[in-house]
Amino acid sequence: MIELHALSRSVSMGGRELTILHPLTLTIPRGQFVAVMGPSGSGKSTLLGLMAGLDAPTSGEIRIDGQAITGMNEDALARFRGRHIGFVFQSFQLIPTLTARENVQVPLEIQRSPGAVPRADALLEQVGLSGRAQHYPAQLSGGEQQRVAIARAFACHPPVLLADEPTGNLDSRTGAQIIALLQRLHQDEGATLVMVTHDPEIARAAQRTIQLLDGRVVHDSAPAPAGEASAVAAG
Amino acid sequence: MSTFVWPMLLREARASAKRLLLFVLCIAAGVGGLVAVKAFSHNLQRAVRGEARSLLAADIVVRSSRAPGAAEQAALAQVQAQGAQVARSLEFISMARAPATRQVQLVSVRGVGTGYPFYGEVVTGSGKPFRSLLNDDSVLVYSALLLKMGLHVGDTLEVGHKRFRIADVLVKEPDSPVQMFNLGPRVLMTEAAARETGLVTPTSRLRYAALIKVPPGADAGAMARGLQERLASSFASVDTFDTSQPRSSRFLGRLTDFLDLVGLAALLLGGIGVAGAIRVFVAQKLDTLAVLKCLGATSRDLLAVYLLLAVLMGLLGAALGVALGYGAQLALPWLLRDLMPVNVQMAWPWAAAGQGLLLGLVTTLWFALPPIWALRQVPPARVFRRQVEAEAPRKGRRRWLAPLRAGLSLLLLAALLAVWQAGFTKIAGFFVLGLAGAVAALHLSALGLLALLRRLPKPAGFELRQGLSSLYRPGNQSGAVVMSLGLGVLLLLAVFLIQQDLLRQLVASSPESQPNLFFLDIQPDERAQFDQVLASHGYDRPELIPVIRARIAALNGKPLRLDEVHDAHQRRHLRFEYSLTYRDRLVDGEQVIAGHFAKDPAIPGPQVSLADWFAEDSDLHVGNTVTVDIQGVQVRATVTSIRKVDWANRRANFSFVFLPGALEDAPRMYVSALRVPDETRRVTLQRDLVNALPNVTVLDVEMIYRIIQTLLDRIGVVIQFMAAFCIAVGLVILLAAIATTKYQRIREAVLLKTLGATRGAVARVLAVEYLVLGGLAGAVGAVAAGAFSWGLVTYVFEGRWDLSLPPYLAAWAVTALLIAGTGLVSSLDVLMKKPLEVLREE
Repeated sequence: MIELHALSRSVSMGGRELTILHPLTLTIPRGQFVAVMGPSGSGKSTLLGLMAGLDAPTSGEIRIDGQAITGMNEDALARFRGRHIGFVFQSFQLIPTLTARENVQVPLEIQRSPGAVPRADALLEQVGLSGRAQHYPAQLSGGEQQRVAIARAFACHPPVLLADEPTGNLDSRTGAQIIALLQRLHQDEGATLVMVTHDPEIARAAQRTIQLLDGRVVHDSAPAPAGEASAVAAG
Repeated sequence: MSTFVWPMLLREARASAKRLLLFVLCIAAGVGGLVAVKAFSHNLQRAVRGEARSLLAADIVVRSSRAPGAAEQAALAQVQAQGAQVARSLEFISMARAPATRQVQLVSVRGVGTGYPFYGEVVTGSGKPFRSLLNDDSVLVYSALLLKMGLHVGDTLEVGHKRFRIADVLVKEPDSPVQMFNLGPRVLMTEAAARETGLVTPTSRLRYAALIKVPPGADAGAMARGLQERLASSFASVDTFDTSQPRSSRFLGRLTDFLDLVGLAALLLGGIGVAGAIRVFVAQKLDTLAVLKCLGATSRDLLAVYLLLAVLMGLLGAALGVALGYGAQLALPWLLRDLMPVNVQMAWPWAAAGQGLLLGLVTTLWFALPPIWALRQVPPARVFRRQVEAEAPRKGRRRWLAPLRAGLSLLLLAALLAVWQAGFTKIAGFFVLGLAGAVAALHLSALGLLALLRRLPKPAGFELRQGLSSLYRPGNQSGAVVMSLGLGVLLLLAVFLIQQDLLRQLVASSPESQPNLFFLDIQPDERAQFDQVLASHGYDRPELIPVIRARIAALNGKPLRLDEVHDAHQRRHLRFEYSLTYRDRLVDGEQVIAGHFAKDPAIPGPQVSLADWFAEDSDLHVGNTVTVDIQGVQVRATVTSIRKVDWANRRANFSFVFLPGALEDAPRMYVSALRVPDETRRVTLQRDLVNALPNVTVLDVEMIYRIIQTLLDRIGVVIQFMAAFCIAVGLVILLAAIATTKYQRIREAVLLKTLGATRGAVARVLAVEYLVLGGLAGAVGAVAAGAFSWGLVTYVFEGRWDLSLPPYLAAWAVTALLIAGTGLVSSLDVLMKKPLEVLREE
């Protein structure tokens, strides 16, 4: 479960305070698939970054599975991310000097999990890339790279998966395949999935849609009544 | 840690193998030079220590420039009474004559008494023991003498008034193993024979030695200290086998100390290369680091990966450097072959390897740590907003902060390493200041020139414009490349220029009027005959300058006691045997700076004019007195003037010039000088003069210059050998810079090709870039070398510095071409890439 309480973020630019995210309170139950929508500059990526502990809020609190991450230092946050959060980025963010398999291995190795190689191979098989394990990112197509990134995101069974426009750099057919893959894994693993997207078609696949505009929530399709999430997860 | 750190480290090493190899080579080239010098000097010292007794031929040697006086005789008699053996030796230079070929030759005569040598061996050409060959009528000579005079073993050789048979070739004397420091080839004879030549007189310049072998079980150190105490106030010096080093090994010691510092400079340059390589490497890793942080890697994990990588690369580089250095040290004995006092057994000393590894590692970490430490600051949120943060230009004061910090850090490391290597010595201080000055000057002028080029109006041609703008490519390290190659050029060229300047000073620049033949030891009753011989060759009688040999007996009436003079430098000066003269006028090159050079009738007794250095050294002023001892007769003279003397001019210069009326009756000889431009005439004049007056010594200045030239050549080659390591480091930095920017270059080249540029045009763009880079490096290096040699020649050697352009132009052109060639060859794949291959990778 992700709980945001009175969360805000502002930056100072040229001596002026600029509010990117106005105080916001939000609860995302465990296992829910949430699409975050809104035009450029509406604060979507900032919200995602705050949930991941990549950025510190100006005020407010974030709890993930009951654990407050707002006060943690850099290294504690890194360790927390490694165990609880998986990422999928618009620009894939694979490490160019590592093969597909090694990219998937890395988070497991950081967590000192035994059996990183078989786990990585199993994940690559799940995303349909078992034949490309030895290939470097530059040798893979965009869709293939994003599938490696998804395999990597699920490597440590994170309870939370954050995706930042995962289809933004892909054609619509490949994009649809990626979303299908994400959905399948989300259901198999039972993880909470928060996805930033522009595409209303994709948003329709989500159980809940949150609309942002100028740093404010302007629409929330399902303000999460208690108990609903478990029903979704079970369904 | 190991599940993430080691696999990640290995993958990074695999992915960046080529670039890391260059990093390794930077350190390897730097460490290689140092280890070569260290291993060589270690082996040399060991060999010298191993042969210490042979190199002295005795346990203790008492040396003096005057025939042993009563005190010395008594002291030696006492050690003999204690069971010690004593052998005498005396040395002087003279002329040898070959009646068969009528040739004459300056030689260095040595007469040795019974017992010599107590240790080591006199090696003869035939292999027979030298004692069986040498009697009072025979000599051993170096083969160089036979060659020069057209003689063979068995022929006759005359020295002074005595005739000898050449019994054999002398291959090596244990205690004078290096010929290059002798003015003429050695003629070895018995001590009795040396005295029979008639050349051992109170007015001749002689070097006496008493070689002592202590009885078995006795303590050589204690006996030497006893002798030192007894002889403290005499003019003799006492050396023991463990305190004395032959001149040549002392010289080599100083030379290797200096080479050590040149090696250190190469290592520091390597460090600068590492710093640059790491900085660029890390800059290209920022995205990866941000992703890894997103995936849960802590800063500590990441620091561990990259620090361990740096440590491994440093160790690998240092190990490679040790191997390289061990190989290179084989060249040093060959480069220094005429200066080696002993046979150096090549060994692989652990100490040199250990120091090399440690120095390599310390240098690597010193330069690699700051950029790696900064990795902690990489924000994981960079994965979202890379574009925003990418290139926020540094402004104002902060722009200068980083280079300033880097400069100070380099200076600090240079100081630490110099003190580690050379101790808290003057030379370490000079090294640090010199290096700091050179690096700062080179770097600033490199940056200045680059900035200037950037501000110049853009040239019209496409290749030229594109090539010039490539110099400012991020990560290009143009400044570092220009600086390190410039430093290499500076060292190589400066050594050459200084050598040339000194030689020119000695040889080429000598004005037509300067004499080139000096005649020494002309006895008063030989003056008429001397004139005659010169007249028969068509020369007017040159001035005959009287010379009286004396030493200092008292200053201001206070008898001199050498054991009370604590300053070693001053003691050495007071121990000298001086040459005095008398005349009533100043000569060219002299200038009175205090008092008057004229006889003052108000002052009774002898009057003297002192050279400024002696007056300063002994704290004497006009009106003070100095007492000299001329063969036992003391003459006290009042100082009436102090002169500045131009010692570099080619005349007989004197520290003590008496005014007439004091020394006319003292035992003296005459010296004279003449200019004979033609070499053949010089040879025949020498021959006729020496055949007529066998005790006269003729110094042919040209020949002495040839000796000095050979010596300078040898030293120059060795220094340039070490400077080559600096050049190697510079080229590696260049290669590293090319490698780090290769991807950018390839993209640019492909873009240009897509836009219609031919392969030739792209090659020309690259050529322009590298030629300009090389031209800048050559120019700053050459200008700095000029400045450096000017400073050294003008202020240290006090000579005249001349600007002769060809060496500068040659150094400049060679540097530019070397860099352009290296750059183009290593960029071949940039030219070869097909546009589609690259665009598909995008």
